[in-house]
Amino acid sequence: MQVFRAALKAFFRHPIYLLIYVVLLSCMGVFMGMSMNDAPSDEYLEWPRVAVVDRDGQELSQGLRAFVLDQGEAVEVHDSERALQDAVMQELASYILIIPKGFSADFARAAATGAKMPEVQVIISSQSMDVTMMDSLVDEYLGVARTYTVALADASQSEVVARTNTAMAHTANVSVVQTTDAPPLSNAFLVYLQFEGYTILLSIAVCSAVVISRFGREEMHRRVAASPVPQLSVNLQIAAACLVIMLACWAFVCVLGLVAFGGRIAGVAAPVVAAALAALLCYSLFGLAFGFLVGQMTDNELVMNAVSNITGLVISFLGGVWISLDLVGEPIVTIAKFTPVYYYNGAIKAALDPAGGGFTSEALANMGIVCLFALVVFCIGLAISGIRAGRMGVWNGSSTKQLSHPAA
Amino acid sequence: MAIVEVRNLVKRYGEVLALDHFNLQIEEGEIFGLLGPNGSGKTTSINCLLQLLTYDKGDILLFGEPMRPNSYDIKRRIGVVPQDVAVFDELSVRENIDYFCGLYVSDGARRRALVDEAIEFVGLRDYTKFRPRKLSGGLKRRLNIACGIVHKPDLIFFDEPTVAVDPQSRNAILGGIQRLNAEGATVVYTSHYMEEVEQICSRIMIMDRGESLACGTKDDLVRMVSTGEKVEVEAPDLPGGTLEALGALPFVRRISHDGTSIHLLCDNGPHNLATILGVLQERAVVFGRVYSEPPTLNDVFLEITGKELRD
Repeated sequence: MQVFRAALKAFFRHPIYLLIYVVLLSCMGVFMGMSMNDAPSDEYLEWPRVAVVDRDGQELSQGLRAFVLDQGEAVEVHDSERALQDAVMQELASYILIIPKGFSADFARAAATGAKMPEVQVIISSQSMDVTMMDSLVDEYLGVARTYTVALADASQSEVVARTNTAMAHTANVSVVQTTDAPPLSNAFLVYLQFEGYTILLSIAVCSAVVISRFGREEMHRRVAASPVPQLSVNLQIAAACLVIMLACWAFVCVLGLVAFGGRIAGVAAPVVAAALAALLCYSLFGLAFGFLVGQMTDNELVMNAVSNITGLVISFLGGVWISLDLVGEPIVTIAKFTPVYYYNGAIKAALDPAGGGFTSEALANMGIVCLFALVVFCIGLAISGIRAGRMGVWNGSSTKQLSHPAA
Repeated sequence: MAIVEVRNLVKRYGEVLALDHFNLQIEEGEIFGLLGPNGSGKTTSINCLLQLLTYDKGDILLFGEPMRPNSYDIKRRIGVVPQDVAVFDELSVRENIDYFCGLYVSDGARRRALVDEAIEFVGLRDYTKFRPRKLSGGLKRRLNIACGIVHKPDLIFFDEPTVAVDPQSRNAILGGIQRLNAEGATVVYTSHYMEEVEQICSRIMIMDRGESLACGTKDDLVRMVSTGEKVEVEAPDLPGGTLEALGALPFVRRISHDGTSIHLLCDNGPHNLATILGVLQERAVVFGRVYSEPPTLNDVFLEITGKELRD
């Protein structure tokens, strides 16, 4: 266990890495998580100020006009280009619906023949939830009207409008029911875990790379290889030390998270939290494999830190730590799918899913993919190690290359 | 008994032939010097001996047993002091020595005693808690040596251990190697400092381009080459015919006068200097200081390899 002990000693003689990468970054994750509000929102949807310009004047257009004005705060706007512009610019109306001339007739014709439905014009002052909601209601109104037009072929337009108004008047009663088993999960804890993906990757990668590189220096390698300790034993002891470092980092992040967010996840079932932390453990394995790869490539600490930091930042960006993936383009999301952080996020979201989290098949599948990423990176590290040994002509007990002993 | 025996060792680095049918035999209790310019194959041969490098052909026997990568019983009896200081910057002097000792000795009590002994041996008693980066170059070299010899090996390989150290540390290192040898260790010492090899080695091999060019004691090597004694006599004023008279001596191979001194290159012989001075006295030549230098290992090396030491 001499190598194992020396590896851990070497690691603990770098307290600055522990302080910066493990403690400070984890604390940053806590602050980020705490900035999220888990309490139910007191905000309610305000209805927009709406205006309707009916250039058609038929029963369907009038019915639509009445419906829209009924859904929001009605505002009168003259049907002129200047007036419409002023209304939008001065935010007199946030949603203006313009029904073009002949719309009702075109609507009936299109419904009867199956042709493309005519469109109404919409002018909005700013895209907000209430405006989006209003737009959606208009689409729904026209969709219902079309259904009645098709279904009641002989019905008059007034009858279609009446039935549509009746249908649109129906609402579903919705209420939030809090159950004892699965209360709403903490968004703060989720954000914390997302950020800790960055912390874990960076801290484990740098710390394990430092340890691995210490033993990987050519002279050190030769000195140890000349000793009676089998190379396999040396490698296993180094691996065990790195594993301990990985588990220590993971445990620290977990304990810190549980302490900081204990109140917010107090009612969450234990398997749900355990699954989320297991996902973090899988991601830690990727960090370890990445550290092994970096440790094989260089023994320069500056380069190790640079590579780990840059990779950590890029991967974290692709994982949505800095900007939500919902706000980035499809190409970025596609690229993110080739990184383990995407599946790590998938795993923790599935694990903390209020609709049934824990060790679900989705969570486990994502964890499995993260582990596969770790395996691939580890194999690349092994290949680099083998190539280096081959170039030096070094007999490397950890590689598959065997010494070709003519005398043997 | 031959502690080290190498037969027809061939090692290639791609197209480069690093060891060309290299043969070596080292007897128990020797300090054996491997002398050669950089790139001559000294370190490669040691690495092959220790099974740290693959090789293409040849047999290696240590302590009479074939050496294999997994010959752990043989490796237990070997100490290695590599060319570059190979220690952990994060560990203290004592921790470093203890770590390398632990690779060979598992018993804690015995290890502590050995570590203490090694620390005393290399004179690092006052630095046991220092980290290597706080040590001077010479102290680092001594730490490197302590790590290699702490387990009291029977066979120790020193690969250029005095590179970039001050004269005091160098003398301490060479003295230490002689003490280790006196305590029973067989030593293989590689260097390109000829005076060191001359000072401590009982036998010397001169190698270049992966080949053994000559091997024997220093006297054996000197006898192998034609370079002889160099004599210099301070004599500014020479009567006519003096140089011719000296040049006519049968053992004088070359003679010159630079205005202040006569320089003679002679064949090896027991009475060269007396004969030369006799000729000068016969001719009433007034002379001052007289130098006589027998052939050095450097002369041997230059004649055998035909070149200056590289680097």
